[in-house]
Order: sequence, then structure tokens, then C-alpha cells
Amino acid sequence: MDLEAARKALVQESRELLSEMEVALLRMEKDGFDDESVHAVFRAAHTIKGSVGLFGLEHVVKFTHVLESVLDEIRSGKLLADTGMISLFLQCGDHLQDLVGGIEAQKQETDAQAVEGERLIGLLKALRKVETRSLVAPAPIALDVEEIEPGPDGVAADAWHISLRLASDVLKAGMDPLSFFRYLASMGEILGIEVLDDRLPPVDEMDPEDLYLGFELQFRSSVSRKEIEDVFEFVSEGSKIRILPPHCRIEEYKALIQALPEPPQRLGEILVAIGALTEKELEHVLALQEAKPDKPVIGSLLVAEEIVPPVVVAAALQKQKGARERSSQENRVVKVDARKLDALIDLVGELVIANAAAKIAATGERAKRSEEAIETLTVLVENIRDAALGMRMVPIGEVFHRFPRLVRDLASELGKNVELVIQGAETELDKSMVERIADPLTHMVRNALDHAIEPESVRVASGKPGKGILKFNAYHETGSIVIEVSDDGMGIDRGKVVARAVERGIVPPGQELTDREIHNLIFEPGFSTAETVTNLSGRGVGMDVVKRSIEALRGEIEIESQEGVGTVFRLRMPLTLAIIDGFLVGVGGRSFVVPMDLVKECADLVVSSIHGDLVVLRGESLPFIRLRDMFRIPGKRPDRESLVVVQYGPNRIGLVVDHLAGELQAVIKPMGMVFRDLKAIGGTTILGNGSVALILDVPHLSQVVSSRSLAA
Amino acid sequence: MQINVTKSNGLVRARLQDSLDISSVSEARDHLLQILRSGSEILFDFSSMTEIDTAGVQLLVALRKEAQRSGVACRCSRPSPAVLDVFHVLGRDDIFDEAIVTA
Repeated sequence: MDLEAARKALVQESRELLSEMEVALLRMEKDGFDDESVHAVFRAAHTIKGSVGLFGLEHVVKFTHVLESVLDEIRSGKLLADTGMISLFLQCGDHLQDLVGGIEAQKQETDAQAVEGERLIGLLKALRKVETRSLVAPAPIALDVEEIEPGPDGVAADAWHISLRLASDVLKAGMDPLSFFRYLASMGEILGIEVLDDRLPPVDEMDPEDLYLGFELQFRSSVSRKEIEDVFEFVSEGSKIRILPPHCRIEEYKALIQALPEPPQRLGEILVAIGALTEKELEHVLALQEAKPDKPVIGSLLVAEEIVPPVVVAAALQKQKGARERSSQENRVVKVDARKLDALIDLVGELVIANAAAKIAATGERAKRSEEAIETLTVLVENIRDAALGMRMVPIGEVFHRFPRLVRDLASELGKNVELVIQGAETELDKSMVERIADPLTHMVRNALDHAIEPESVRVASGKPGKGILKFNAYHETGSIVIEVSDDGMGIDRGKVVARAVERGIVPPGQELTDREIHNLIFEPGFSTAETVTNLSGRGVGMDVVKRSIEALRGEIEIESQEGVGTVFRLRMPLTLAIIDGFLVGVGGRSFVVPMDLVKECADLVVSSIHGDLVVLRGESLPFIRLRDMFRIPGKRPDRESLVVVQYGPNRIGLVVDHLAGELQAVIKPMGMVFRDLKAIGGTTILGNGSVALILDVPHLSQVVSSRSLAA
Repeated sequence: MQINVTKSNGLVRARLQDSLDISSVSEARDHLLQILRSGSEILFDFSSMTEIDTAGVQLLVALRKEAQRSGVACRCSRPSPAVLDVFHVLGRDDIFDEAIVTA
């Protein structure tokens, strides 16, 4: 197995688990401890422990082990949870994040990390000690955190249970399970090995060099799970190794039974083999079953005899019924390297272009059958394109869910009372966007908490609820995704903003400004109205940076604000960065592409309806621009021109072109560095005939054209 | 891997020599299966076996199953220390009809 790939998977999985853990912790803080949340936190710690153990990362194992032990006690009700612990657990999560970062960078644990780890372990152990002492029971105080006492539902067996279903090619690979057993025997005592030959085919059909045997063993030893896992470190992929600790919880055996491949008739034997039942207990039950005339199923007998806890039997019975459909939960998601996906989308892009070329060729040759075949092909290519792009789409909740923690920490640091409300978390956007939008959003959240939302006392005094609300919202709108960050804080103080802008020389004194212009001033470089520079948002990184990063993603930002009521920042981002449905237009032999989503309608341009910069269309006047003028294309205007009406957000404008050439799929090729700052052009694309078309940056155009007509 | 076969009164005695391991199981399977089908009672003599591994044990288990299916009695005699050790580790002293005769 590729170790590097495994390490990446470990890092990614751990991060996901940690963020789930954080969400669960914050939920607990808000709504109290419920089983599901506690379990989510436990599962994160538990799974990470298991995974890092495989990599021999002892320091992480040690830390997660203590954390897991405490969580397990909370889960089983031995330790009373209170919300005061949540801060500690959050810190543990942070520490783990830090350690995971170290794993990713392939670094050893630093001294600082070791100190922090010890500190947290100390605090975690203290939790358990206090609680254990407060129990009235005369039980000895558990000072040793290293091993969890068997819970009330732990099994009687005091040995490790190891279940091996090794890949069929291990023998050929030169590994002999016997050597594992001999090695284990050197570390402890093998109490018993059960060799399962259920899967062994008839001797004349078997491949003697394949392994068909399964092994169940009971192993008594004081070694750690990690050391046992190390024994099987080099077995080939496809091997299933399950290790259950002494006195482990019944659920783990339940899971084991469900996972084992042997047929249901083996129920009794497996129960013995896994140590959930002793041989004697099973004999007893079998005898009883013989005696009963109606032969009840073994499971109900086991429960009636109170020999096995019902969960274990339920698990075994479920299997017995032939309920073989395994939970396909984990199979529903396949993790794919983002680079592979990008490569696929590149190829799909090329396919789109090639398809367009084929279409032109077929049409040119007037070959009916080829045309038909290509038509079918085109539909398929479009579907493939949509599916490929769809794979890159992820719910924006991935970004949103990073913020509850930030809001919580900032609010407590600032002594404010703020609640974060999230809406539209399921709205999808391009994966590459997700990563790049997090930073601007973080800035906006910091800003809102630092400057916009007032301290509780001020809010109450002005008749607002003491708790401030910061809201994230997302939804789709005409080919774009809209992300709103709103607060119910003090709003933008127009007087203060203008004063500051004048002071900074951004606007001349005495100039009349509209609300919109004033609000946009805060995006000017070097603008900051915070009277005290705090360590949060007053770092010299202002809203201008936010605006620039949004624009770099071909997005735009607008503000709506009312003094005393609150502010809404509205980001409008394109859905994807790779391929778009386009509408091809021509001006004097040049081709331009307008994103199809933004095209509202097309019409002939009636000369008599032009009034200055406006054209009247069905009684509505619309600002317009001639692309010929805009791009200074030489040549004479044709007698008949066409009008393409586009809409971006609230702005509708008309684009006047020579002729309309119809729909196409445009693979966006980004502009080179030299043209980065070129406005009005969003990129280029290659047409089927090999020529280049420019993709119009409609958001920018609509802004220019609308503001020009407003100024006029 | 060498197998010496002697027959007397319906009893087939198969003496396995050297090692029964991953390198020889494929060849041994055909040979042993042939032996199994040649009589009604088989005695495997393991006294000259120097080595057996999991693949070897697995083959014996498969043969044993086949023997049961076709009603052939299988016994094992005089296992060498190497074989005994493996049977012991795997807890499969019961591969053959009778307890292993160490004589």
C-alpha cells in the first residue's frame, strides 16, 4: 500500500472527523448533551486513535486515548458531563488539529506540542478524578487512566480478540499467518485459535496457493493495540483484521459478527470463537435447544437464558435471517484526488471542443448520417460535462460550518453575545471556490463581530435583544450563487464613513454621495473606521482585500445597510470556473461569447427605439452598449443589428451586436498574466473551427453600463 | 516434496517427505487427491516431514473434508516435531480421525 497516499487519507479523514467533533461540541454547548453529539465526539477521538495507531504515531495515540477514555465515560454515564468541559474538549480538538498538521508535514512532535499535550492530558485526567471521587460507591478511585474499567455491558473475556480474514494472496506474497501467531505468542499468551474453513472450496477446485482459512484468536497480553496492529503491519491489501480489546463493549462484538463472512449456521461457533460466550455456556444452550420440542431459534434461547446480551444475539440473528445486505453507507462516497478530477474536467473540455469541430465538419459536408450521429454525441458530451462539473460541486455548508467556532471564540474574547444562524448550507458551488471563499468570509465575520455587533449592554439600551445575530445565507440565482453575511448590529454610520473618507483623501470634502457610493467607500484601500485598532480586524487588512479576492473569483460584492438596524454583505459568485453554456455573437468578423445563463432575450434592434444611451423595449427603457464601440472594432455597422438582453443580479442591459450565432459550450481558458487586469473580458474559448472567441465579463459590463446611465 | 505410497489390504500408507509448503502445495494437491481416491482407508505418515506451513495445513484440511465427503477414513501417524508444532499452534489436532499417534 502506498504509504504517502495512506498518510494523506489519514490527514483528510482526521480533519473531517475533527470538524464534525467541533460541530457536535458547539451543538452540545447550545442544546445540552445528547447521546448523538456525545457519540459523534467519541467517534472522532476513537477513529483518529485507531488510524494514527497504524502509522505508529505514539504521541497522537496517547493523547487520543486519554480523550477517548473520558468521552467513553461520559457516553456510558459514568462521568457526569457539564458544559464547562466543552472548552477543554474544544482545546483538545485544536491540539489534535495541530498534531494532524504535523502528520501532514511529516514532522515529529514539537516540544511545544508535547507540553500542550501533557497539559491537556493533565486536565482530562483531573476531570475523571474529581468525578470518580464524587461517586458514592466505595469503588477504588481509578487513578490509572490508561485502561478503562469494563463497563456494565463489557464482555467477560479478559483477553484481546483478534479476527483475521487475510487477503487470499498473502501466502503467495510470502507471508505465513503462522509467523504472526508465533510472534504474538512471544508477546503474550494465545489462549486459543479457531481456524475457520467455511470458505475452503473442494480440494479439486481450490487454488492451494490461495488462503481460504479464517482465524479467530484469543490473546492475553498487556501490550497496546498498537503493538498488536504492528504485527500485521505488512499484510497485503484486502486483509480484514479486527482487534477487540479485553472487556470491550458488546456493540463491538455485534459489529464483528455482522462483518464476518461465515454463514449463519456458524452462529454458535462464532459466538464461542469471539469469546462472547464460553464453550460451556454454548453447550448449555444447545442442550436446552435439544430438549425443547419446538426447537426455538438459538438466539431467543441465549437471551432467555441471560447468557448473552440481546444486542449480540440481535446482531447474530440478523445475519441468520440472511440479512446479508451489508450497510453500504461507507460505499456511497468515493474519495478522489482533486487533481484527477481537474484532469478529467480538462479532458471533458477538450472533448467539448472536438465535438464542436466534428459538428461543423459534418454540417459542412452535408452528411446527414454523420450529422445525426454527432447530434447524439453532442447530447452525451453535454451530459458528461454536466456530470463532471457536478462532481466538483460541494455544499457551501463545508465552509459555513467552519464558522460557529470562530464566532464563539471571537464573541467571548470581545465580551459580546452573538449567535450564528446558518441558512442554505446545502446550496452547491464549485469545490475550488469553497477553498478560496473561506478567507474573505472570515474577514467579514471578524468585521461584523468587531465593529458591527454592539456589546450586550449597548444593544439592550437601544431596545434590541441582548444577543446579536450573525447570519449566513446562500442560494442560487441566475447562474450564480449568492452568499449573504448579515448582522443586526449598528449598521454603517454614513457620517463617520464620509468623514473618514475625506480625512483619508479618498473623496473631496463637500461632495454629494449616494448611499451606495458611501457604502462602497469601505472597500477603498486603507479605509478603516474602527476607532480602536483591535487584534481582530484592525490588522490593516481591510474590506478592500475582501473585495479584491471576490473579484479574483469573478464574483462581486454589494452592501445593504441601515443605521441602527444592521448590514447585509451580498456576494454573488459564478457557479463554476471551468466550462459554461455560452451564446455566440459576432461583431465585424470577431466572435464573442455571452454566458447563456445571463441571456434574457434577443431582439432586432429597432433604430427608432434608441434614445441616447437607452433603448426602449416593449415600453421599458434599457441601457445598452454597442460591442463594436466598446472594443473599437473597425468596419461599418450592418443595416440590421441585434440586441442581446443580459441580466446580472438586478441589472439588465442590452448588448448590440452584428449577428447572433447560437448556443455553444465554451471551455473557459483563463487569460494570461498580461491580460489579468483587462476588464470586460472574462476569458477566452476556442471555437469548433479553431478560432478564438472572447468571453464577455457580463457582471463588469453591466456595472459599467448601468452606472454610466445613472450618471447621465 | 516426495510421497511414497504403499498399499496393503485396502490400506494406503502415504509417507510425506521434506516440506509441504507454499512452493509444493499445488503439485502435492494433485498427487494427494489421487492417493485419496485410490483406497478406502488412508494413513498419512508425517514422520519424515521437515516443514509445513499454513498452505500445507490448509491443503490437509481440504483433503480431510474431501475424504469425509467420499467416506474415506483418514489417519495420521508419527508426525515429526515440526508438524506437531504447527498443528499445536493452530489448534488443529483434529484434522484427522484419530488423535495424532506420536509413536
